[in-house]
Amino acid sequence: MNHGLFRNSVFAFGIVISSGLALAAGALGPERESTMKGLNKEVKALNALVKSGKFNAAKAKSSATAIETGLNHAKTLFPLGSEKAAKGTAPAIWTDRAGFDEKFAKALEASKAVAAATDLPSLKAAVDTQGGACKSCHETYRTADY
Amino acid sequence: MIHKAALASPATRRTELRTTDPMVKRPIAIVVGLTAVLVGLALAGGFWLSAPNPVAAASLPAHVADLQNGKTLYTAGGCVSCHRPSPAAIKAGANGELPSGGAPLNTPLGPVFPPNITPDKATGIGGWTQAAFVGAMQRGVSPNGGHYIPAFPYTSYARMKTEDVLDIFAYINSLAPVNSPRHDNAIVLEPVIRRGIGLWKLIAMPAPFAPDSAQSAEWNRGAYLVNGPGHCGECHTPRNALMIGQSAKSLEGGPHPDGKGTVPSLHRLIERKVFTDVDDLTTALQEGEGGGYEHMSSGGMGDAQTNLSHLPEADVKAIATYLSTLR
Repeated sequence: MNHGLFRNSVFAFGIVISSGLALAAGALGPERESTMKGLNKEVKALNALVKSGKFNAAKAKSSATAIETGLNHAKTLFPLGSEKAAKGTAPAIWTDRAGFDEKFAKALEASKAVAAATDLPSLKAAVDTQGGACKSCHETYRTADY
Repeated sequence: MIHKAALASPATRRTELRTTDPMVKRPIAIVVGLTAVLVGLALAGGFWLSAPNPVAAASLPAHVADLQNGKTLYTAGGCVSCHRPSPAAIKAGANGELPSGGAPLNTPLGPVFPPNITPDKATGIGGWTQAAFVGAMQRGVSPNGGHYIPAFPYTSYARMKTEDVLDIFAYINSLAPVNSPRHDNAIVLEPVIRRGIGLWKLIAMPAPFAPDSAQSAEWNRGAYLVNGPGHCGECHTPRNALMIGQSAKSLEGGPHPDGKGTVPSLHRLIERKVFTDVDDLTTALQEGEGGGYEHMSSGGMGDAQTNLSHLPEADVKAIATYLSTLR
């Protein structure tokens, strides 16, 4: 009787865990997408700020902080086992984790430089570096899949 | 009942068979002979039809080279994207800005190594004539009279004005020469396949670009850059079973030529709200993902977008203007 209860509990626990994992993997795709779209919005805002020709430290810092937060969240959305969560991910994300992490580190570093910009030229340089970091990572770790 | 032949000795049987032979053998001989003749004719015809068609120097237009135009079209064509050294070679010290021969392209025929196109006399194209360069770019014919494998997108460059091709040649000749020997491709039966490409070209080569007088000069400039030097269709136009771009589905997207993923359609970009308007599309082409635009780096587009970012703004706007009208 006790054994049966134990077996059933283990079984139920297994179901809960595996369905939880499946749910998490299923939710990762949309979560990645919305996080990345949020980053895009901030990068666009920064580019618009540079184009406006008027340096605005508060706006730059606000976007840079949002990007840093977004990047830190995005980093957690590619755990081991989530290879099939969405289209557009290169297997290298999971086979070359060191390279993938390095790209994130560069992007985070760039967002700190954006936040620290003191004038338009330094902001432009930092925003360009930031954009280059997005591009460089996507060239390697994102696949053409639409 | 036992057949008579079964009772006869082997020698008798052979004689009997021989006596009936001519009746059977003659039609077979005729069929075999005719087939051999037809196959021979087909091979000879194929050999004749697949012969490379080089450009005669006398047929070239009189032209004073415009280096600036050459640079623009070299950039639009993204020559350096394929012909630059491999990442490993760049890491080892090779100049990544010069087209001294690149990493292999994976084609259905096997890996193809983009050769050194710097003006080095020994290993590049420094010794080439104008006719040789035009022949390569617009007919896919090498100076020694062979067919190039169409991973080299001469199927698009064939649409270009010959004067523009000559300007690219002049610009390439102004670059620093790099001594970088060619890398052999890894294609099975390469000589036979190359000859076969001659037959393929008979149906695959497009007509030169013809401006549409109903459209603006800007639209026509964009259409020319996209379909000629830019060779956008090499990836964005789906191919048929013969690996020829389907003109009816021009720039409609399809499977990625690398074999993985898909290439997006360039039709109805504004209507589908991928971009808000022509200016937005222009900015997207100029800034790519660095400007917060999605889908501008993966599948090789990152390199193409980098090249676009180096084009004069008017040319990028012309491209956006043309693309925005694709339905």
